Amino acid sequence: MDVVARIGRDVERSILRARNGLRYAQAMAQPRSGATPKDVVWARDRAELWRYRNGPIRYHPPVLIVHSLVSRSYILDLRPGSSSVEYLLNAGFDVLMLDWGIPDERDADNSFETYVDEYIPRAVAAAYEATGAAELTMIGYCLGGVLAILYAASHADAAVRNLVLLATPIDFSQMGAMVAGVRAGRLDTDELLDETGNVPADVLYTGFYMQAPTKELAQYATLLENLWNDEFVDAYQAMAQWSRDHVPLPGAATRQIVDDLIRRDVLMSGRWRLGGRTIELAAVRGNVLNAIAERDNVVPRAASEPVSRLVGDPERREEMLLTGGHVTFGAGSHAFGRTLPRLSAWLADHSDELDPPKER
Amino acid sequence: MDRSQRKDPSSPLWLDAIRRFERLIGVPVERMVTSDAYFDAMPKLRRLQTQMVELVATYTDDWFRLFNVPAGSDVRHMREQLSRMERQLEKLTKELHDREDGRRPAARKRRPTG
Repeated sequence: MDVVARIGRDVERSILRARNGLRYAQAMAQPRSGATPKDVVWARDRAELWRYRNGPIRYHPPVLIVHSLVSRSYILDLRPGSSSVEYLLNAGFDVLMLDWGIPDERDADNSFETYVDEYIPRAVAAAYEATGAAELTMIGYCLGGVLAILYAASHADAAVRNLVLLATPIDFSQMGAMVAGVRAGRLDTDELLDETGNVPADVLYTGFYMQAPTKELAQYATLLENLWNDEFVDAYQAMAQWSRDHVPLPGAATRQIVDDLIRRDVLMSGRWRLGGRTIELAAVRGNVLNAIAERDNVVPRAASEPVSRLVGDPERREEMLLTGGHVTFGAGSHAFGRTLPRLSAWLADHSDELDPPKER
Repeated sequence: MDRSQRKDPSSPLWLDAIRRFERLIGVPVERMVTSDAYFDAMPKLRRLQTQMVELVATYTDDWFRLFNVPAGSDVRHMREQLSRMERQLEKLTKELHDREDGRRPAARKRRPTG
């Protein structure tokens, strides 16, 4: 490139940097997260079941995403053009999302039983009613994966044809720094709760932030360099907004996570006594896909690999190693380009193709 | 620095320098905040902080009340009580709704909104 052209490009980029910098500083151009059109088909307390609007449906059964308890679900619908939900819709799936909302003081008594025996069965019934289907594919993300396993393993009427587990922790002894602060002899659950009875969102944010406290410096520098690029700024803002946007964790569920999952590592026994009965993880009847992120530092590979040994029928278990980290392997532009095509292909292989496609 | 050794040849030198600096300080910081020593010290510091807040409150609460102003601990207790009451109300509301749902015919169709 000759000198004049380079100077011209640099001047143009400087102008764009100044414009985008002002917008960013004034928070004028907020990213459009969670923008895929949807309908609320069921609600109870703060939980809602959304069905996304789409064109012709090419695959049966519908896909129900069970989100994690510690983050906002719009990570899977981050922004138009790099939304996992949008990807699945375009591939021809009928997609529903079970979103837990923002827990408050009324949710402090929510335990795993509340989610597994009260919310999920009702949401699944509403999903059947809304879609007309009698079975579904369930995708659980992170702790949502644990909820999905427990539901599919403990409800005799759970017609889950495929259970896809994204970055789902089973071996909590391998969770490393994420849970180190609450191991036996360190912080007890009561010390984490605020007056609402929940773990405040900022405690969870600090837990994630402290994994790499200096990373923001390099991220801001990269933002500054790419500030001229609208696409980059939009993606950066969306991801930055989500990573700061945690939700409180209900106290009762936290107590179970700390006492049973972390301190006793109970899921590694293949069973968990919950709601007056023992749930056997191997009792899941459908196909199980254990999708693991290569560079996951929140749920390391070693923590999610046991899914492939413990959950469901050994004949119907599969494992998929995907590029990316805990978030980027399932969301954003990285997932859109690299991992979602593989996940979507697996879903299509394990679904029925509708010929002709069904209109909603 | 030899430009050919850099990860991304299109990124400017200043950005590479910042990234290298971040890793230079980031690696030991990350090692420290994920160490057993850190996690052993963290609960002690947190408990110390709680004790300090309680200690200060024992001296300041009476002064606030003297002037008929609620102290921080009063507000906290009130929020705890309100939270408990909210939960009880929510539980009762749910029980009522579930009973009503149980009385309705099972074939009742629910339509999507919007």
